[in-house]
Amino acid sequence: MLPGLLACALSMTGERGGCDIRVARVDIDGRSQEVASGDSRAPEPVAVPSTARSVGFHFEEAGPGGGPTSRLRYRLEGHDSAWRDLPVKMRAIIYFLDRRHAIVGSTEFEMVGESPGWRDTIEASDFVSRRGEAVAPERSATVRISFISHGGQAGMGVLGVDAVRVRVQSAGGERTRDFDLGVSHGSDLTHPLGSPGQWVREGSRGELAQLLVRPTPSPHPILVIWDDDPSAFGNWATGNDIPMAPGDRVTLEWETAHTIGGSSPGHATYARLKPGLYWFRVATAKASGELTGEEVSLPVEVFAPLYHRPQFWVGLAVLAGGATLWARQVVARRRMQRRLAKLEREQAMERERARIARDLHDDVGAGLAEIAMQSDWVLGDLGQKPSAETRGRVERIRESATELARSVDGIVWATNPANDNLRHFASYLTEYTAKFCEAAGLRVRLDVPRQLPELALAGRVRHHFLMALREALHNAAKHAGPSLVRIGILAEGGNLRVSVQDDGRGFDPGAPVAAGAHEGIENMRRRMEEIGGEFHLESRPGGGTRLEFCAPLAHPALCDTTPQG
Amino acid sequence: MIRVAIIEDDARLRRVLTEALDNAKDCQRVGVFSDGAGAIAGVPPLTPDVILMDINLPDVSGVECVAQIAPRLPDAEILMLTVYQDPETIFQALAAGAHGYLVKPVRPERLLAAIREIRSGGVPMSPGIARQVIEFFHRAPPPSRAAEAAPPEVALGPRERQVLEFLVNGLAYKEIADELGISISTVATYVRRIYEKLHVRSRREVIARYRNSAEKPPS
Repeated sequence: MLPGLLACALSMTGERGGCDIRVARVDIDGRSQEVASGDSRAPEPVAVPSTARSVGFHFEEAGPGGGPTSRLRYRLEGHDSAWRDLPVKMRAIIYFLDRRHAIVGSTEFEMVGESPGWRDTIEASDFVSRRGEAVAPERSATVRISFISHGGQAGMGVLGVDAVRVRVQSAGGERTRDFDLGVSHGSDLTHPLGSPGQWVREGSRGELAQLLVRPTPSPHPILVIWDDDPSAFGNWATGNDIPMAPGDRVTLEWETAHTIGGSSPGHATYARLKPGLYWFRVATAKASGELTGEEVSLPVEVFAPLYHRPQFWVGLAVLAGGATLWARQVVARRRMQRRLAKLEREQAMERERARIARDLHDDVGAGLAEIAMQSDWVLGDLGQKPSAETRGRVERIRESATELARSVDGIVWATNPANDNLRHFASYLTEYTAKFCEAAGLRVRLDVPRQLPELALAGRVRHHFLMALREALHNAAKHAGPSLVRIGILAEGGNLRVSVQDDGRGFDPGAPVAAGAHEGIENMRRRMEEIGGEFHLESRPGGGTRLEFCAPLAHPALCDTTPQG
Repeated sequence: MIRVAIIEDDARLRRVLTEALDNAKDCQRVGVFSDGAGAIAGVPPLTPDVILMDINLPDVSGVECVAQIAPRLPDAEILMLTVYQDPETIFQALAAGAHGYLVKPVRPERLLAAIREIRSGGVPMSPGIARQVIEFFHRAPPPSRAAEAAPPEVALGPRERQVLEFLVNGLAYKEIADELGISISTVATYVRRIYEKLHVRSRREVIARYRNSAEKPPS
């Protein structure tokens, strides 16, 4: 089997021996592609990218004698709804001749493929009217009409011509002559090779020009070109030339039914095929276009570009989805790892803080408590025996131990991570203040909202607030000599506000003082600054003193989830 | 003679407390314990008048200890001892049945004074504790009891509320007495009553909570 001879269905009658048609090659955008040979029952489709602008099929027939014997018809299954013909023309020609019957000009009117009313045979077909015009050139003396099959090789088909009329109109339009060129007289008009009076046979094979009786509207002979010879042509021409003058307008009118095609070699081109599977079929046919049953077909697959295929989008979506999921998972896993690491650090820190708090409480606190209590016993044992100096020393030991134990308590409290919230803070602050004032013999008023928001409060913030408050209370008790101390605690707008007000002596904050005299005040200011807060002091002699500490509940430097600045 | 039991895990403090009691003429040391489990088993048979209880015990927490011992010794006064001045924990101990607390280091005479005071009906209440008592009584009762009106024995009276408010604001007993035109011992009586109601209420709450969980369907 020859390459490219892909599928060949023999006619059932077996009239022809061998398989004679083949698709020789396929042109994709002008680039020829040999058609791959393969199993005729399952030929490999020709792959055409959807970007191809044109796909051309070259097909040919080699009859038993070597040359073409049949008209070839083709169709691209999946694209064409009917068989198509090679663009072969038959023509009606108006020739202008001079007085010596030499051609001085011509105008051609083409007939291609199947006429609109064609129905397998001329007899069954509806005829369509055609009309052509030409203006006689210089030196024109007569006009000749000719109906001719394809002039060159390869033309095949059947052309029926009826009701031929010619109108010759003078250039000015003042004179009009009509010539009826119907087959009305002559001899043997019912025989294909009969001789109509006004027409003569011409061509390489004149017998291709025939007569036929058209049954409608009433049976009458008509002109026919029956070209079943790919290598020959024939034509009907008017026998008596019609006289006219240069400048005359010649109008040719005729009715026609035809089927015209070509024979081997054939070429068919399709532009911009949509993606899909097609079958290119080539079949042999009689001159009349009737298929003879021999056929070759070639599958062609136009591949959709990736982005036209649903699989592509589904795949892309799956891929994108997968990638997104994967990326998200990676990000989530990293975030989780970071969070876990942070949590672990925090937990380790908390465990450490809890341990320090416990150790301080158990060892240092308990030890100091013992020293303080033992000092009391020493004082009791000593009675009035020792000097006041000795008693004073022991008392100072006791006071120091007590004071240290209280400090340790404060440190333990501030260190213990269990207290990292506002409620515990307020509770401890009021408790501390109440105890301090009770011991110092001061009245105290606490102004703390009944309901405090459940807010986290970092250990550092708690510590500095507590230390500042201690300083403030000590200062008040030591210098101001008040009878009443007011403490206010307020959480608003992300800030913690603690105020300490006494009704003591007060002082002039603007007055120059000895170096170090206001060390306590500077300490308090520094503590607030350290946690991004503020410290305010209002005082006037005789008007008491009011201190205010204010700092963010979550200090940026302490909380890495809050942006800096 | 006030019969006193001591529960303290730190040996040095235990010695100091023991010495203090032994030197007091009106106090009698009836038992000394260094852990919670021993105390829960050993204290009730001794029927002490006052129990000095460290809030941080190594095995059973002081709060748990109070919860176990207080119902079995309704006439005993429990004084919590703590170095750690944390109102939250102290409140839990008070709710469980304690009547007062002392912050260590406590001077021996202050310790003895506190024992005598609590025995004669005077009980201390700090602003932080008062705060939590108010909060506790404001809290919605457990769901199973929501339908029942709060029995009078666990609802605070108006005077008790007044006293609590004054305490929260930092007023001393003397100041409250002046404000209300009553004696300091009356103020102390109110506070004692508040403590009793706190005990009853919190015990009811614990029981209700237990019953709730017991009544839950097995699924």
